[in-house]
Amino acid sequence: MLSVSTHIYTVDEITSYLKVLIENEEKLQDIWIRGEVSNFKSPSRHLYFSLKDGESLLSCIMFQEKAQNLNFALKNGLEIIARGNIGLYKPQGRYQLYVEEAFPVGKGVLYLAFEQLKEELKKKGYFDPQHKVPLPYLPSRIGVVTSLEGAAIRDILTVLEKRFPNLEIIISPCRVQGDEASKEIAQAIKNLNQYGKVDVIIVGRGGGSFEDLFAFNEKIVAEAIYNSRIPIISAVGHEIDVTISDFVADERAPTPSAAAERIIPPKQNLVELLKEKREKLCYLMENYLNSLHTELRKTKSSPFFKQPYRYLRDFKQELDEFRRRISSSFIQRVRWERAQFLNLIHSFKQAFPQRRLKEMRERLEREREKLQKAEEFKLKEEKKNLSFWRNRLLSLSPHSVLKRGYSICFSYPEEKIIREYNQVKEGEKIRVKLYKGKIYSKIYQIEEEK
Amino acid sequence: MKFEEAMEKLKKITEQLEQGELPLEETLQKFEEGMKLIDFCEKKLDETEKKIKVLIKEGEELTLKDWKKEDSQEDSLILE
Repeated sequence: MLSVSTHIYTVDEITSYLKVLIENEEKLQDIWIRGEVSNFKSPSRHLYFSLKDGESLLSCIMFQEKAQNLNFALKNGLEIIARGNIGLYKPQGRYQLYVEEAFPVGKGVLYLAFEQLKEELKKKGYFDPQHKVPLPYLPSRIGVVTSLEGAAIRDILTVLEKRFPNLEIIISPCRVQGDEASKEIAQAIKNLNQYGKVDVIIVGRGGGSFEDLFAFNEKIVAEAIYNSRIPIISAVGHEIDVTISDFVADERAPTPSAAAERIIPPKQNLVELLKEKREKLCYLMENYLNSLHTELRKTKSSPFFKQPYRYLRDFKQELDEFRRRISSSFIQRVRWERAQFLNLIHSFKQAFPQRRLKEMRERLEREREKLQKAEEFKLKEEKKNLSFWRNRLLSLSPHSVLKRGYSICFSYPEEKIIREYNQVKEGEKIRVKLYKGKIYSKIYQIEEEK
Repeated sequence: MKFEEAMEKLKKITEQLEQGELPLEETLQKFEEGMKLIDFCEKKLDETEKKIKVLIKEGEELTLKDWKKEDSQEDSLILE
């Protein structure tokens, strides 16, 4: 009964409650639902439709970002399998399926198989990065697993030929479509492994429907790729097609042409690269040699090499200096030592008193002798002087003059010494005193001396 | 030696020469080695002849057959 205490919900409260209830229910999230499409419309880029079967109907919405991945056209009456989450749209009070992906029923079954296998292999670690082997940079032989009739082989050969005209390609042919295809693909991969002389394998085919490509989603192919010793690049269908083999392979290429491009660089690029390398090496070498030359020139032009003798001269001089210093110090040393030695001897001698006494006596003797000699010499000198003076005195006496032949004239009888001619006259008598005896004579003639 | 190994060695040699710190003799030796590696790589690029073969297993025997575009029909016959 309605009473004052009765709680009255707002519509929004109830709707919000239901929204939480539905959207938190695990059973209603990420579910697959099968039904027939009706009420399909696409007023904007999003898709609106219902799924019905028997008496029930489920509103569905597929937003544009999901819808663009559909690889079939939705239309009324088509039976599909859709995956999505149940949610509640409050403005219309309506629960609906937010579709993530959808497939027509036939394909839907395949897709479920694909999803299951993918999950299984993922758990087994088939997709783990550590199993991926890097593709060789320049394979010398390339293996191709595909059909000989398909577009894929032609695309691959065209690209390879364009990029690298001289390549060895081993095709391991197989059907790529139909019930036997998966077995043949697996066998073709094994055959190439048994052959063993290829460095890389392209496994792929051209575009087709999901069913067409399905051989590449089979377990037997996945295992063959996983067990291949030779690196494999998977190239199935077009860009948007994803297969199990893409996951297992060492690399995935969007198309067979892309795979061919991926596994071999354009030969021309490599040729040019090598040419560049060659030029680079030559350039580096030339540079290096040039730098050596420059260094050599620099060294050669250094004064040391230009005037080596100058340095030699300096060395010589320095050497001389050393020699001088060494020898002078040596001589000084010797001299000093000798002086020391003599001093020592001297003082050693001095230390003996007899010797000193003897020395004194000798000195005394020497002094006395000296004195004696001096006295003798003095006496002799004086004697000599005496005789000198006597001789001198003697030579001055008239007697000694007369002895030398001179004579003295006296007047007669006055006995005056005649010095001049006018003291006498002719006829007068004179006395001439000679050294021995006297002569009396008469003046015979007088001559005046002019 | 693989092409990429030769290229890797070549890269190292180039780097060493770029640093320019090696003695003359070693530099000459590296230069010569580099040139040989380039020759080797060039040879490697040209050594293969263009050949397209089809690998067929007959019983336990693997055989290579020539691929001819025109005879693709025949090839597919071999497949059967």
